[in-house]
Amino acid sequence: MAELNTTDGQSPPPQPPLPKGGSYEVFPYAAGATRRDTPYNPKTIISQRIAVPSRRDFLRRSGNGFGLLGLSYLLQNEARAAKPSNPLAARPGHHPARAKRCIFLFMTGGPSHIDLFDPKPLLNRLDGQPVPESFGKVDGQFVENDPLCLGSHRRWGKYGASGLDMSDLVPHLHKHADDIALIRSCAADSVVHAPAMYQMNSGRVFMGYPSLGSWVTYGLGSESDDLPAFVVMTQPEGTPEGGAPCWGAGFLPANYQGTLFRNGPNPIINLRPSAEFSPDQQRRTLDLLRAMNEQDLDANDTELSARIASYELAFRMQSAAPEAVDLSRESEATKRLYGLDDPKTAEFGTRCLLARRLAERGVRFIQLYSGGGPVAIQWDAHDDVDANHEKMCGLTDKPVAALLTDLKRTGLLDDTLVVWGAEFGRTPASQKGGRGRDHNAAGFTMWMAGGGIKGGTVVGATDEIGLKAVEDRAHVNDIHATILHAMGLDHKQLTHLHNGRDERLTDVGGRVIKQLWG
Amino acid sequence: MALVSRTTALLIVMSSLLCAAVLGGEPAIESQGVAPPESFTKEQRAHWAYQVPQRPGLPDVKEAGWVRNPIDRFILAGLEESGLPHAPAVDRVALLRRVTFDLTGLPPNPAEAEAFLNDPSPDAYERLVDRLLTSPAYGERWAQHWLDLAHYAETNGFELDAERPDAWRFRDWVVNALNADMPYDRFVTLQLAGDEAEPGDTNALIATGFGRCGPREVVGGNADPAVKRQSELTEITGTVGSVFLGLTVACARCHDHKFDALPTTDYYRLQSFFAASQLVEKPLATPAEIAAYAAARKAIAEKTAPLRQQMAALEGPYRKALTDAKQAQLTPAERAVLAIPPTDRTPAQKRLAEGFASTLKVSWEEVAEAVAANPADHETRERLKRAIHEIERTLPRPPAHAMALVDQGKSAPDVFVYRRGDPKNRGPKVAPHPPGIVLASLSTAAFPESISSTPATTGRRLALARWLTRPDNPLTARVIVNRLWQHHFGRGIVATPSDFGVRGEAPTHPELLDWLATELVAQEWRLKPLHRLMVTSAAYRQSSHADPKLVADDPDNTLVGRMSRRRLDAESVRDAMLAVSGDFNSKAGGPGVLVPIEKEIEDLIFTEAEVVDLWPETPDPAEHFRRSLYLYRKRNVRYPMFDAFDAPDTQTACPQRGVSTHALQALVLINSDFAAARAKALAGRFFREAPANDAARIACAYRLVLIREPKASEVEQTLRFLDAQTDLLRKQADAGKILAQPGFRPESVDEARAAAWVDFALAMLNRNEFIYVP
Repeated sequence: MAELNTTDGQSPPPQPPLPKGGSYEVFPYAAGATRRDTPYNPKTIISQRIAVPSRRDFLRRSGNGFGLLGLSYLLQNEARAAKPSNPLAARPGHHPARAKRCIFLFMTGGPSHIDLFDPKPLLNRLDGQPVPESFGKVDGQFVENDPLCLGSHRRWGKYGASGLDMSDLVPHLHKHADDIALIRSCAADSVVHAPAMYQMNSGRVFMGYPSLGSWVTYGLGSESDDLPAFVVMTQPEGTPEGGAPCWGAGFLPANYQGTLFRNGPNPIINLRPSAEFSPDQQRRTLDLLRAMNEQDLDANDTELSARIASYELAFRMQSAAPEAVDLSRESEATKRLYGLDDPKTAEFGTRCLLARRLAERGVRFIQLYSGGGPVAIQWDAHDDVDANHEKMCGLTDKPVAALLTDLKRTGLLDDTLVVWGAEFGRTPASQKGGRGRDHNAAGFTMWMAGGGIKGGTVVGATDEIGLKAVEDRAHVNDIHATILHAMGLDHKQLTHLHNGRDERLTDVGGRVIKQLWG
Repeated sequence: MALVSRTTALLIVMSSLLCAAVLGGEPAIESQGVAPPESFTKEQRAHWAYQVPQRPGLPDVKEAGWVRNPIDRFILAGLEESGLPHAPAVDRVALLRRVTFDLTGLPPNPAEAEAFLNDPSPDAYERLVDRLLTSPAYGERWAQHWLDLAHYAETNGFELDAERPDAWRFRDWVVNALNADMPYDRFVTLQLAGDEAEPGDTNALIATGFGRCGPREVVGGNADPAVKRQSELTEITGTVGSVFLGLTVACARCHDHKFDALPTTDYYRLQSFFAASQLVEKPLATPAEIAAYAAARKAIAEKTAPLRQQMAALEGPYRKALTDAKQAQLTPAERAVLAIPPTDRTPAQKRLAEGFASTLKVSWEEVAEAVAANPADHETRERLKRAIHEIERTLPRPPAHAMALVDQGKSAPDVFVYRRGDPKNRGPKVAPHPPGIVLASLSTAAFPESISSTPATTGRRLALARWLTRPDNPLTARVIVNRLWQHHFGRGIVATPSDFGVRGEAPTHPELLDWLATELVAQEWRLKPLHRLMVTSAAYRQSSHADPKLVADDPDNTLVGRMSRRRLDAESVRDAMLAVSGDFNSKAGGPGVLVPIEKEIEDLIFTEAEVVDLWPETPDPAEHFRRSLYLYRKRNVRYPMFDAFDAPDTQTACPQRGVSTHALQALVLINSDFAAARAKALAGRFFREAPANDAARIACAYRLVLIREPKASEVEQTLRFLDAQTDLLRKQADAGKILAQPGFRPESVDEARAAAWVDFALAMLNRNEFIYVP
C-alpha cells in the first residue's frame, strides 16, 4: 500500500471504528465532506462501515475501471457524507499546487521553433546546402533523400532582463520575456498531425486515451459549481486535426470530457431550449420533474439523487455560461488590449479574453486551439514558413501577450499555468527545396508561464540547426508530468484501472522538468 | 499489489526479472530458427481460467421451491452459504420492462404489455421471452453489444476520418447472424476466417470485416510501412485477444505481460495468424452494377463540366493575380532557376524548382478569399459551387464491396518479435501458435503441428478459429457466456469481462460459469437458449429493491441476491424516446443514416477541402427516426446524446460501458431539438389516443411511458401542473410568444393548454423511472 501522505499538516479526520476483518480501499473522491481534509491518493485507506473484500477487488480490478459500480459508489459516498453533489467537486491534489488552473494555447499544425524562439546562426550559414550528415536523418512526414537547409529569415533580438531570444514574429510577446520559460528540447513520437495531436493531448499516438484536461479534472475536479471543469475553444473555421478525441475522456467517465465552447451567447451545446420554451416555463417543468422524481425516492438512493441534482446544475449552467461569455462588462481598454478592435486579432483575442473570464470563474482546464480546418488556417507551413507564420502570429501574438498582461495585472498568473505549444515543430530543412518546412517531432519549443514558473528560463537545447533535442530532452510525457506537477498532481499516482492496466497520462514515461521553477 | 512505478529504466530491469518470474524459465534466445515455446510453472498453469471447464453437478439447496432452473441452484447455494436472503420476486411491470429492454433494447409496446399483464397462464412470461427472442429487435440489441467490442464505426478515424462506405454490411451481418441464432463457434469462425472457412461465400467474406472495424490511420507522406503495418496488426491482435480469449494480450506487445503468463513471443505468435492478412475491399457488385455506376459518374461529370468551366473562368484572373504576387516575391536567383527550361535543370535546380512550385501554389482558400473581395463574383462562385454540389449529390452509392480481411496468398512473411514493439528492434522469429499458457491445459493435439494452406490463403486464421472453437478451449465459451450474463445481470460472473487473466476478477460463481460454458457447447453453441435460461431464472426475476441487510452485506451484489437497477444505455435512451412518442421507424439494415445534427457538431467535422455540405442528411425524414444502431457512426464526431450517456468512443474494444451522471445529460434531455420534438409527438399521442378527458390522457401518458397506471396523487399532481402551466403559457401567448404545440391537438383544447401538455410530456421523458430499468 502506498503511504498516506498528508499535505496540509492536518491529521486525518476521525474515522468510524474499523470492522473486523480490517480496512479496505475506496475510490479517492469518495469521502464527501471530508475530502478536503483527506489527501488525495488513489491508495488512500479509508475505513468504512461495510467491509466486503470483493468491493475493493472490484474497484481495483474492474475491467472498466471506475465504471458502473465505481460511479454509483462514488455518488453513494458523497451522499453519505453530505447531500449529493457534483462529481466534479473540487478536491486537493497529491501535493500543494503551484497552479490551480491551466490555460493551454495549442498552435495546431506545428509552429517553427527555428523562426520563433530558437535562433540557429549555423543554419543560416548553411542555407541552401544539404543538411550535414552529422546531424542525422531529417525525419519529416515527407522524407527527402538529400534535404537542403533553410535558414530563418526572421530578425532576432534578446528581450527582458533575461535576454530571451525571440524573433520579430512575436513582437507583443517580447515584453513578456521575463514571464515565460522556454522549453527548447521538446520531443514527440509522430511526425503526422493526428497521432501527434493525440499524443500531445493524451500521451499516446492513438485515439481513445483520456486527454490532459480530462486527467486534470479527474484528479482535481472543478472549482466552479455551474460551469464545466474543462473547456475547449477551437478555431471557428474548423476542427483541429484529430478532432474531438483530442479533448475526449477516453476510458474515464464521460463527465471528465472537454466541453466545447462555441462563439455567441450560448456557448454550450443544448444550453438553452428553443424559443418555444421560456425560462419560467422550463423552471416549472423542472419543478414538476423534480417532484415526480422525488416522490418515491429512497433517501439513501444516491444515484437517483445525483440525477435529480444534475438537472439543477444544468439549470444553473443556463445562466452561468452566458454570463461567463458576456464581454459587455469588459472595459474598452481591456478589449483593445486583446485586439478586439482589429479584425485580424478580434477572433483569437475574444477567445483569450474568454479564457481569462473562465479562469476567474473556476474552470480548471481551458484549451484554445489556434488553427483548424483549412490548411491556410493552421500553423502547418509546408509551402512558405514566413508567409504562414506572419499570418498566424498576426492572428495570435497580440491576444496571447494580452492574456499574459491581463492575468498578471489581476494576479491570476500566480496560480494559473499558461502553456503555449503544438503537436510538434518544423524541420530546419526546406520542404522540397522551397520556402516551407516539414513536420519535426525530434526537437521543438514550447513555453510555459505562471504558476510560479521562473520567467526568462531556458530549458534544454536543440542541435546547432534546430533538428533534434540534444540537451534535457523533454518528451511529451515529461511535459505532461510537468503540467500535472504544477497543478499538484503526481503523474505516477494519477491512475485509472482500465482493461487490467493502471493507465496513466504519461504511460511508462514522464519526468518533471523542475528547472522551470528555478 | 499493483506495480506503481513505471519509469522506463525500471521497466527494463523489471522486464528481465519478470521474464524469469513469469515464464519460469530463461528468456528465449534469438536463434536462426523459430523460437521454441516457453514452459510454464505449475503455479502459472493452475490459474482457473486456463483449465478446461468441467460440467459441475448441481448444488443442493434448502429452498428448493425457489429454483426455476439450474442457474438458480448455483445462485441460491451461494446465498445460503453466506446466510443471506434472496430478494422477493419483482412485480410484473418491472419484469416486463427489464426483459424487454435486455432482449430488444426497446421499451415494451403498450398493446403487448397489456397482453402480457393480463395473461393469467403460468407460462405467460416464458412465452413473452420466446416472442422477444424471435423479434428482429433482439439481433439489433445484441449486435450493439458486439459492435462495442469490435469498436465499429463507419469512418477511419485519425485526421481525415474518411468514410467506409461498406462498413454497414458487417453491422448487418452481425444483426442477421444473431437473429438467426448462428452458433457462436461459427459466428467466431466466420469473423476470423470466413474467407477460408467458406471460400466464395459473400456473407462469410463480409464477416471478416470484424478485423476492419477499428480505427485506421490513412495519411499521405512517407510513414514507415513496417510501423504502419504493425499498427494494423496490433489493432487486430489486441482485439482478438480481448474479445474472444478475454486476455489482455496487447499488454505483451512491448514486454512480457507483467501479470499473466503471456510472453512477448506469444503475443507475436498470435499476431502471426494475421501476418499474411491484408485489409482489402473485395468487389461484390455485378459487372452491370459497376457499369451503371460508372455511367452515372460520367453523366454527372458531363453535367458539371460547363459549371466547372465557368468557375475556372471566373477564378482565372484571381488565380493569376495571386500567382503573380507570389512570383514577385521570388529572389532573382530563384527566378533564374525557374527560367531554365525544366529539361536543362541540374538535379539540384530541379529540386529547387519543385520547392518553389509549392511556394507558388495557390490554394482554394486564397482564391475564395480573393474572390470574396468582389461581392458579385463571390455570389456567382458560391452559386456555381452549390450548383455543382446539387448535381454531384445525386451520384448513387458506389458499387458494393466487402470490407474484408483476407490473406494475400498461401505464404506469409516471417514474423519476428519486435522488442519494445519497435519494428526496427527485431527479436526471435516466431510461428503462428495460440498462447502457450492456454494451450498448456490441452492435449498436444489441440493445435495442429502445421497449418495447411490453399493456393489462395495461408489457412492460418482458420486454424486459429478452429482452435478457439474447440469445445475444450478453456476461454472461448466462458468468455461469451460471461458477456451474456453481464448484460442481463449488470455485472459479469467475472466482473472483468475482457480480462480473465490473473489480474482480472475471480469468478463469483465459478461452477455456474462452467455450467453455463458447457451448456453453451451442449446447445451446439447457440446463444438464444442461454439467454432464455438466464432471463427465465428465478434469480433474474428478483426485485432490485432488496433487504437492507443484503445491501449492506453485499453492496456490489456479487451473490446476485437481488437484481441491479440499470440506467438505459445511450442508444436505448434515444430509441425509447422515439418508441413512446410513436415516431420509431423499425426499418432494418442498410447504410448508416445521417440524422440532423447541431451546427456545432457539424463544425467538428475535419476537412481541408472546400466542401459544401459536410453532413449530407439522409433526405427522407422518416429515416431520422430509425433505431440508433442504424445511425451513421463517424468516429471523430459523436452525437451529443450518445456522448453524454457514455456510448463508447469506438477507439478501442469496449466490454462494459461506464455509467456517469452529469449536467450535460440533463441539457440534452430537456433542451435538444430531438427532446422537444419527442415531447411534442408524445403529447400529440395523448390527445389522439385518449380523446375523452384529461384523466384519460394522464392515464395514457403513464401507460405509454411507464407501462403503468398513474396513482391518484400523480393524477392530481399532473392536473395542478397543467392548470398552472396553462395560465403561464396563456400570458406568454398573449404577449405574442409562439408556443410549442403537440403533434396533434383537438379543437376543444386551446394552444396554451396543449403547450402545457408538451411540457408534461417532456417531464415524463426525463423521469428517473423512464431512464432506469428496475
